[in-house]
Amino acid sequence: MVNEIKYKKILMISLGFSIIIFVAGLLLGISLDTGKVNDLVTNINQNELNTESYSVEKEFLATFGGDKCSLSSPRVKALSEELGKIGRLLTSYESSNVIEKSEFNYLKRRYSLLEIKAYSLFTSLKKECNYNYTNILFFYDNNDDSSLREGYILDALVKINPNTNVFSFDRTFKEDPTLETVKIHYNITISPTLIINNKIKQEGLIDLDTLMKLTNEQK
Amino acid sequence: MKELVLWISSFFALLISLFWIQVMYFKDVKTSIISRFPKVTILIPAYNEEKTIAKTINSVLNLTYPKDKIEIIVINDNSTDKTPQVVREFKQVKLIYNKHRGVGKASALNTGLKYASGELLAVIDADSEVKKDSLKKLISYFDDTKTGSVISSIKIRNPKNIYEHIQRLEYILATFIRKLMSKIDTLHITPGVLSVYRTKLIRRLGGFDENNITEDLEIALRLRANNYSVKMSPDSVTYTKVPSTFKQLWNQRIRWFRGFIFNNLKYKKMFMNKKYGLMGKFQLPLNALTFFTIITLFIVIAYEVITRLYELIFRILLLKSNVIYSLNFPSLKELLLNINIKLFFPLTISFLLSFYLLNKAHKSMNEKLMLNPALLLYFTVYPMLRTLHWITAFYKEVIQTKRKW
Repeated sequence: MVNEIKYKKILMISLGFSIIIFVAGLLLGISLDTGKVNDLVTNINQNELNTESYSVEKEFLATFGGDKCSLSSPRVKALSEELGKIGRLLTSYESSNVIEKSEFNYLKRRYSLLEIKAYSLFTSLKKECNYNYTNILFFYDNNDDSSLREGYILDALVKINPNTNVFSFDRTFKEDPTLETVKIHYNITISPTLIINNKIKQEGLIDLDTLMKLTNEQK
Repeated sequence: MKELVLWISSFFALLISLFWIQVMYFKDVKTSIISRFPKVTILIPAYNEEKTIAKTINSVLNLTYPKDKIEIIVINDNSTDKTPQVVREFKQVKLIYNKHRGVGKASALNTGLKYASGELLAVIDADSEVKKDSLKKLISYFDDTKTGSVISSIKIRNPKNIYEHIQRLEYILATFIRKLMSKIDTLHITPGVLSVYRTKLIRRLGGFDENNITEDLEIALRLRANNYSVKMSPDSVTYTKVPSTFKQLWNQRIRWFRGFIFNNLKYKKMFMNKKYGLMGKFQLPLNALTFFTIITLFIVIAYEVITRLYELIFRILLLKSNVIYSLNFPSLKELLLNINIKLFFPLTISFLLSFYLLNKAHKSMNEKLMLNPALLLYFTVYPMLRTLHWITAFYKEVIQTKRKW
């Protein structure tokens, strides 16, 4: 028979072990979160470097002569896919509060700038080299269901038509002046808004068929 | 919010598993050598049991207990089949008829109680069987005058389909936990598969509650409320038949869980009451906490599933056949990075401890833990089904639908 003192003792031991296991879980979680942030930062760094590499290469060829359109299309496509991955990671970490707010804003800012830079590069490549790309700027709002659904449509569009590059921006994110300039430039006031190939502006949710029709017209 | 609920639930599961594991290593209650064999009246309530009752009676007749100290009474509870005819074949058995129609097992037991002449009263379901020495193994526990009832260790013999195999695992663990509860004196159930009571005490307490759908839980709680303990004799082995279809299982569990809610509320005066020792301070709060954890977890998980389903349906409506293109399947690295280790770690430990307890339970009952589909379902689908049983039982208790046996 277990007496009261013994009962209290085993309950305390159980409580102690439970706390130890939870603290171990917390510590593991914190170290994994650090790993996640490091991985994200590495991805952003790598992507920044790649974008910078393309820009420098393009500039070099423009200055000293050569075929600036020789920038290989698959390399550019890989850059776009990497950007998409970083965007998805950022969104998932934002919803699970993995990263501290200030650090998250910093990374989001770097990501936004990277996207603007890549968008500019892709647009100029399309114009100057007749690349068969469709470049879409997507302004969303995390708290808006239509934005979420437009995201699904764009995901499908990219898979159906791999020559589509989507650059996503949080319309409510006000930490970066360059992004603010982009928003003012395209007069972005509602979410979702799509800018297709720098020509067509679509406000509100548009379905996949309409979007495919619009992108085909713009090729 | 979701994370907090899951976190608290996993902490609770971890704490309780660790608690029972420690109790497991306490020494069993030492039982004395039987000095005398008190007379035992064995009550077998029967309602349409023509197929099983002969086996039950034969197993009782084979008990290694002095024959002159056993009285066997079968209470025919308005059977419409050949149960009385089958019972009449056994000359050593007294057959009596319960005149009250359709009020459940408690009424039949009370009818039998009127005729019982034994010092002890054993209740055996008409679809159960007892091992030869099962009664003998129970008796010595009554040396302690504060013991109100002693229960046996229930096994399922030769489970056939998947429902029976899953219940086999459930019974093994439940019996093991009952053994642990018996060690810390918080046992509060006397199942119908061989539970023995003091006849005088049951009469003094007013017999079995006829307005109760789980009279076995009620009588045990009543014994506890009157400061009598319920003990388990792990060596006393009995066999029972379990529901073999989904519907039978569903109905049985709704009845059990409604009975659990009703009777725990009925005896709420014991809740956190020092007068009732660990029963009041630990077991009943644990019951309540388990119940609320199940309800809260269900709400959280149901909300999550419904919102995700809603989004998926919306996605399908939006993209039709192209929906497959909108699904982003994460890479292994993304999957690993997205694991919420703060939650996953204690949950994994809780799961491993549960598995350890299940393994120990098998060893304690001389059963073999088999790695089969039933085990997989027991840890995956079955908890969800049990949660549904709880929710349905809770809902029926809230809206007060008629309690049926």
